[in-house]
Amino acid sequence: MKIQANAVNVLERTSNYLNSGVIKTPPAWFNVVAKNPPRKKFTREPKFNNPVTGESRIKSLRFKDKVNNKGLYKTRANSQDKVVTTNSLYKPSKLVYLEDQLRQLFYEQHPWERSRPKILIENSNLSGQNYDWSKIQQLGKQLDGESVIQRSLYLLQNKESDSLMSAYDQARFEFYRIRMEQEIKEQVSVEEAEMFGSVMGPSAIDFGIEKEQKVISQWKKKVIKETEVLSARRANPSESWSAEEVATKESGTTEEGDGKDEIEELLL
Amino acid sequence: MLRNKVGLLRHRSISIRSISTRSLDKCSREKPIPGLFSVQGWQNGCFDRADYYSAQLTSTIKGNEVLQNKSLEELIYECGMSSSKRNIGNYASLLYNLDFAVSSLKGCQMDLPENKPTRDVLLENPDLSLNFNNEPNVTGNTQLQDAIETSFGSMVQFRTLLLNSNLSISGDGFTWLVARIYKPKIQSMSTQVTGEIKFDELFVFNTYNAGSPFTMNKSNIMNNLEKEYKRLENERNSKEDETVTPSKSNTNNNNTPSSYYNEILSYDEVKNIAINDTTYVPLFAIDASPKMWLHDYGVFGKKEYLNRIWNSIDWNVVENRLPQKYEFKYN
Amino acid sequence: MLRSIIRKRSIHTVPKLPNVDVLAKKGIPPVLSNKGFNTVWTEYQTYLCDKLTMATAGTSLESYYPFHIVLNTAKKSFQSHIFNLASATHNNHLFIENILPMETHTKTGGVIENKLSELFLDRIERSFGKKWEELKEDIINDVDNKLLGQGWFCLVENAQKQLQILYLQNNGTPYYFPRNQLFDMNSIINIDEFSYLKQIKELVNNKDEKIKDWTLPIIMVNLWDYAYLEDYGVAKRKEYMRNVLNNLNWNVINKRLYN
Repeated sequence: MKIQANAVNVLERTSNYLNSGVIKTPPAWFNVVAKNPPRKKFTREPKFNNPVTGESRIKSLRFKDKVNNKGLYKTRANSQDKVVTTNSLYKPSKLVYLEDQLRQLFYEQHPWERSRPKILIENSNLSGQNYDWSKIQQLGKQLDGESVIQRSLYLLQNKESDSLMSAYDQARFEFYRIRMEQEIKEQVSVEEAEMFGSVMGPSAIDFGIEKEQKVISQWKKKVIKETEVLSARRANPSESWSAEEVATKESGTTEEGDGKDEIEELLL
Repeated sequence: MLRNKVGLLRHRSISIRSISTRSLDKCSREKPIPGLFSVQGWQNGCFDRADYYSAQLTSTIKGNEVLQNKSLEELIYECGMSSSKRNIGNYASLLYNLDFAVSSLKGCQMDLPENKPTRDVLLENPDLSLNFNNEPNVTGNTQLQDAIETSFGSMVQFRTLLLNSNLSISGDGFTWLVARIYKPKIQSMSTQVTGEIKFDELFVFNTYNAGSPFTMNKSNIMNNLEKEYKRLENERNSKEDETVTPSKSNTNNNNTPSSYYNEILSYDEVKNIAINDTTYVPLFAIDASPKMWLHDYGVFGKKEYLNRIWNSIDWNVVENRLPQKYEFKYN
Repeated sequence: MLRSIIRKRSIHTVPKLPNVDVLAKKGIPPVLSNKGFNTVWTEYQTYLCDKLTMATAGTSLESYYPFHIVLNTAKKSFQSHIFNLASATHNNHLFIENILPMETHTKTGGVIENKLSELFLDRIERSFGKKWEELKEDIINDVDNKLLGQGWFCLVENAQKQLQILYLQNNGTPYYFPRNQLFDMNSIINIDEFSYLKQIKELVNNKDEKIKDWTLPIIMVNLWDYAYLEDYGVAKRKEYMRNVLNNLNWNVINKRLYN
């Protein structure tokens, strides 16, 4: 099939239209696309070296200098060896970053760090190029796992630590100290505010329990009903199928009290 | 009463002209604690305040012969628990706390900072060291070192907790290291001597403004206020609606504990044991007020001030205040 | 009225005052010397803004003004540390605004007098039953008793257009009464204060009704050590208070009053 290249020629086409006066004003995207023109080369080129590791992707056949299990030496390629597979030459290489490994390690070791709320709206400073990682704390960036990772990379690059692990450890310990400071600050602030006559709403725990209780009480209602159905079935399996509807309705009026007690006992 | 038994807090009588404070009297205004204060900072942080507090205290107890003859500690105990005399209690407490905080500082070898810290210190990397120049072990106070390590886990943990607690106080206040003392009757049957004062663990806590470690337990007062509030509310309600019979809700459920050795204690009894029968002996205190550090260290300098306070603690004084350790015996 | 200029997302910066160079050189005579001005505004406000930025960066609070942070965090005990910073930042700005030396000349060359408005004097008399001069004396004499530690003096106007005096302990806010921080529970409170607190507690815990507080600050005075220690020393907070109240910028305050 012929390669469909119409779409990528949009810039040239529009430019021609403009020249010939078919359209009067350039469309809004015109300059942007002109600056970043679409790719027109569609042929895939084999990459003989892995771009990340630099290793050659071509495996030359080498016969072992050993006797195989038949007691013979292999000297010629067989039909299977001769099959040329080029898949690996066209594969995009996997991108591997040191940061990612550190991130994974950090969040594996500190799973609760994930529970801290974080805003995901992009900032102009998202890449963090303006941050100075000679210090772990940054003005305008919250202290989190990323701080630890960037700080340990900084320590490593500036030869302040001799190995990745010692750099990571140092950054981690700095992080812990600051977290401790923050935690005590939070506790003391609450205490101080209350001692000066502040009246605040429910605590985070109370708030959580209240939310949880709502779900639990709904769940309880549902479970009581289901248990009743279940026990009714057990009592008389053959009849219960036909009378299911009736049983649930009845239990709603007569047996409810008993069922509840039972469940409460179970829950206790 | 704690102070008699411990024997740490000697009585001082207050004359009308000046109220004497133990350690401040010994200090010279021209010789500030080395490595911690400049002459002016020392004057601001200590003497001006002490003068001001004692002037206020003197004026509040003017004409009251009984109170004038009492020591600071007695004033704190007696006036700190009554809302009508709270001014007296407050100034007595402030004066006592300030004096107490200064009494365990011996200074350190460092020079005063030439330039006050700037905003850069807010982002400074934390100090990761695990050993410090000034530790009780270094000055030979192994008993104190042991007590701290068993209570807090290690010296680093203790230091982190202590200094961070103080750093977190945004207004005025003190951070205390205290030893907890249970009254012997609930220690165990085997302790025979009832007059002994022994501690089981050390704690760090904060007091704010004129709070005092001696009047921490205000549960009785709060209960009384609660009762009074209910009474007033009932009065108000009965005025509004005369037909309602006078309430009988005043039967308080604050039962006196029958015995500590009951199998299951009621909530009030547990509270009693945990709060009412526990006292705390202060070992040393750190003043958080900007009055102490603003002049020498500037707005951004509280951390630096606290580091130097740590280096300036006289562990000998602190250990002398430490009661005997209570050894748990298991049969 | 109150803005921390936000240059980038999430950075709180010290608001620019008019003639800040002159202020840095001369201070605000006779209230603050240049050193005192430097402490209470240049340094302390920088400290508060930086700390606030650090405490809110990366969270949903980061693009709020301090005022909105105050209202947003007031009910959440676990955000007290952020509340403190935001409240102090906001209060300190109110304070510096109402003691700034007044520009006595208009652009067209006219002269503005630094004078209390009739409206203000009238409100004072109706609310307190006293003349402003008498009230001022009372405040100056009261200040040491009412506020033992750090805090703010605040003259507020409530929803009924009455003026009230609040002594906010530490970093209380005038905008939301459960967080006014009017009492010092470190010493003993009396039955009136206890009942007041108890009633607030009931209001806060009542979920059916939302608390509405329309109080607005008219005069704010910083009574923290940062404001007076440098120039006045420990024992002379009273004198500082007198100086502040005698040298208020009425142009700013008259505008804050509802009319």
